Amino acid sequence: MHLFWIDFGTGLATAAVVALAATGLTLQFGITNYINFAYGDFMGLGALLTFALNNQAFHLNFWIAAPIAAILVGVFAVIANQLLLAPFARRFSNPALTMIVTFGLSLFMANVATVIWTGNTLFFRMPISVDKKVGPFLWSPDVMIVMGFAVLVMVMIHLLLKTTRLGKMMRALSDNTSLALTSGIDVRQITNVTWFMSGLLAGLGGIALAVEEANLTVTSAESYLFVIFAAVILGGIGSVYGAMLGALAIGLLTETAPLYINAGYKLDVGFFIVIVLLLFRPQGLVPRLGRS
Amino acid sequence: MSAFFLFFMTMVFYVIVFWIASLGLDLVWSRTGIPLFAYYLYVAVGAYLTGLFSLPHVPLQNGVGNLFGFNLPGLLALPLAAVVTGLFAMFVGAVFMRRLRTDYLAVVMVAVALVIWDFSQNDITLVSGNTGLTNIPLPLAGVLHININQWTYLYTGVAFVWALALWWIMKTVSNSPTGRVFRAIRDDSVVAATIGKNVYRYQILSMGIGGFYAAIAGGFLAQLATSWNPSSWAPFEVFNVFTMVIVGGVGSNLGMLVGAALLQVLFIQGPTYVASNYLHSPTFETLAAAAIGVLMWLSLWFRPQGAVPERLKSTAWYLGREPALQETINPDLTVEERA
Amino acid sequence: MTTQPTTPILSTRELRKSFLGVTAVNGATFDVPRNLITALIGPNGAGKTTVVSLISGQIKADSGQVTIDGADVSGWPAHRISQQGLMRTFQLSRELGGMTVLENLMVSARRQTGENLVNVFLRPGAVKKEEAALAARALEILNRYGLYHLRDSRAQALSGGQKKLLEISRAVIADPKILLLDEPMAGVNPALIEKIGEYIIDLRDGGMSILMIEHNLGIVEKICDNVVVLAEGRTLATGKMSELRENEDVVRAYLGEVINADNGR
Repeated sequence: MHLFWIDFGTGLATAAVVALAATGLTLQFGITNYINFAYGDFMGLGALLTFALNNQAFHLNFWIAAPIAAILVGVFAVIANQLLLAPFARRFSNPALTMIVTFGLSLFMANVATVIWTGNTLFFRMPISVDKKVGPFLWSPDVMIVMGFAVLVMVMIHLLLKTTRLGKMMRALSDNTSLALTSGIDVRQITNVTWFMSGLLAGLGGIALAVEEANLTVTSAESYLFVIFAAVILGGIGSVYGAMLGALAIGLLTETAPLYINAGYKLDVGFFIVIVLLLFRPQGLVPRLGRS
Repeated sequence: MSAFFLFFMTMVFYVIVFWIASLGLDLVWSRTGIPLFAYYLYVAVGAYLTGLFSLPHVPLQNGVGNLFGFNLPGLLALPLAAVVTGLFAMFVGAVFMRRLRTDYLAVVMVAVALVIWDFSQNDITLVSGNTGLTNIPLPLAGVLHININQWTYLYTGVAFVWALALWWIMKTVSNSPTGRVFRAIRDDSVVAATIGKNVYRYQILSMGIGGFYAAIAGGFLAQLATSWNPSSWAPFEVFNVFTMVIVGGVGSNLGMLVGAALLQVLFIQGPTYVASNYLHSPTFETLAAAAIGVLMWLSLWFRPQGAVPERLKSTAWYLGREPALQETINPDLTVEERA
Repeated sequence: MTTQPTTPILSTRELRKSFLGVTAVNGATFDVPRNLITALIGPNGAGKTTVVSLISGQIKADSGQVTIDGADVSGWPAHRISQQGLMRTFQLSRELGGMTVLENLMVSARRQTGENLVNVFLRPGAVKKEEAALAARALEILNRYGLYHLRDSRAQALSGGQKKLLEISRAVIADPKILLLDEPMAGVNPALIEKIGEYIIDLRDGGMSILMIEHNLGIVEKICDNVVVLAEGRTLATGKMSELRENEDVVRAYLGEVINADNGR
């Protein structure tokens, strides 16, 4: 078995995680002009709530606890936006100030999470899933479920955006906020839906990350924030399909990178892509069609 | 001397150091308008360089070593490190300010800080990776034959003298025509260019001065701890300094002292002392850290001008020292035009 | 090389600019004579503001040439063009909102000793003296434009008309060779329009050359010595207003429509 293909397989699994989270982040980017530094903590919250439902309260089966936790993160995202982020964004035109507010949210969430869940490594209460040979790849059944689920979610998002009235309104709001304001779309409602979806996908991404890594800590998702950014920027900020493609590229790059460079730098591949792309091609690699 | 007194002096030391740090960020962010989210990187670079300049060279062995060491006196290593950090900050600024919109700049700056942080953890050849720099000499301690407690009291005084000098420099800069150009860039960089100011050059200058201040703060932190490694700092700690600036009052030099004191006493050093001496649990400390976020939101929402608001410079301020000129303006000519 | 006083203070040759494939300026070529007020007119979307931004360097032209007082400034950054003796105002006023009205003027003055930090620390006396003199000059200009009473207010607190006056005073303190005004009278009350018109004529009589974008042809006729008509990013005609009324191209492209609109007001 070739090591490259094993890492390539891990890369596909990471791509699934990144795709879930990056899609949520890019949806939110579409309707805000600032960057949410607390997004990594939204992801972490998904995994931690799953842990709580799975191990601490109710002792729910993992596969039942996970979707409930993700929905709770979606609700949390709507509340965080309504109570905190949106008022600041409305009041201060300078996006840097709102970004500092999201920084504060990140700090707040991370520290409160540390108080509740300690700094220890946590494990979901689920059967140990042993890696199996699948073609040239090495995947555990849980990871394969996560990957399949991610693909399913991507298809559902595609159908939502392309075929439903809600999806059309979301795209309209993302493409041109001021135009949408005048065209009779209920902006407040669509904004809430978008934040809910963003939080939901963040939660799913965080849970998927914990499954892929087979454990979690309160800060493990935070370090992935810039990897997610990298996927979003690679695909063109605000572009959902771009984010999916970006996630695939980032997942494969970060997991195969340790074959060639110090494994300690694997996440830096993402950071580096963020820096270089924003410097030289801020519109992303995938051009957004139909936009001026 | 009691343990409490040592704690108290250490806290005073932190207040002074973070006054210096927030003065630098205030210049770059509040007075020049650059969201320098990589600011804490310069604190760290200043700390590492202060260590390297005052330590001897240790060849790499068993994963520990530093690439170079100048064995300089600590009092000299600190400003030298700050100058080099300032130049580094100008270089980073020159590369990134050239092309970037400010909202992207914020993200790129965080990414740069994260990459260098990871580098400091993984690379053992330059500054020993996670081991970092140890045994950074205490300036003056050897010469004066004093113990570490006495040294802390002495060095708090040294830091205070530095802070007063840096406060005076910042005051002079911000009251000068150069400071006025910085503020013009903050308010509208397009207009600043239209009136003939080289925006790019001033932004880099501002980042250089900011880097210098950050590095002085970092150097003091490293000297107090006698060590510096990747767990001594994190790029996201920049948020604490931003909070000091916001709470203290953007654009206000004395406000920075208020902001630094408030955060260090009530939210950082104070809770740490209470948690370790009375509660014997880190929970209180962690909650205090979470409260910093809440403090920042409340401060920004209810008092965006901060505890000590920026003072506008009045006509009297500009003419004050030249009373003869005041007479050249004949108020009779004034047309009270309500346009 | 000595510049003949009869050469234009500002000239553009074949300026071109397109945004994402849409052509905004398509070969604008015109001269702005010295010591005169030149109007830049044209229908909406003719590219007037873009031309002003191309001249002053806020936007880089795709191709073409701009000459200020004999110096080719094509492709120069905005601050160097400004230092060459050009000042501009904006259609939507852009004041330095966090600074006082007085400081808005002071920051705009040229060649300040204290804009170099070395001088701030090594020659504090000289800087201090220059500052006081500059403040006095700024106050004199504020007085001239009826903003004296607002000298210590934050610029963001000014009314729309006051901001227009502030933009003009901010340009005047730099003593430019050529002043570009982008609709200096848009959105202000009729009394102030009259006033601004007088101010502009005074500036010309003081030796300044002015290029102004203006929609109101009545004003153009009254205060402008010379007119450049822009349509679809191209120079359609230049001359005096009275001549242009006879020019069929101009009337068809622009004048008829606006004259009718003016009558309808």
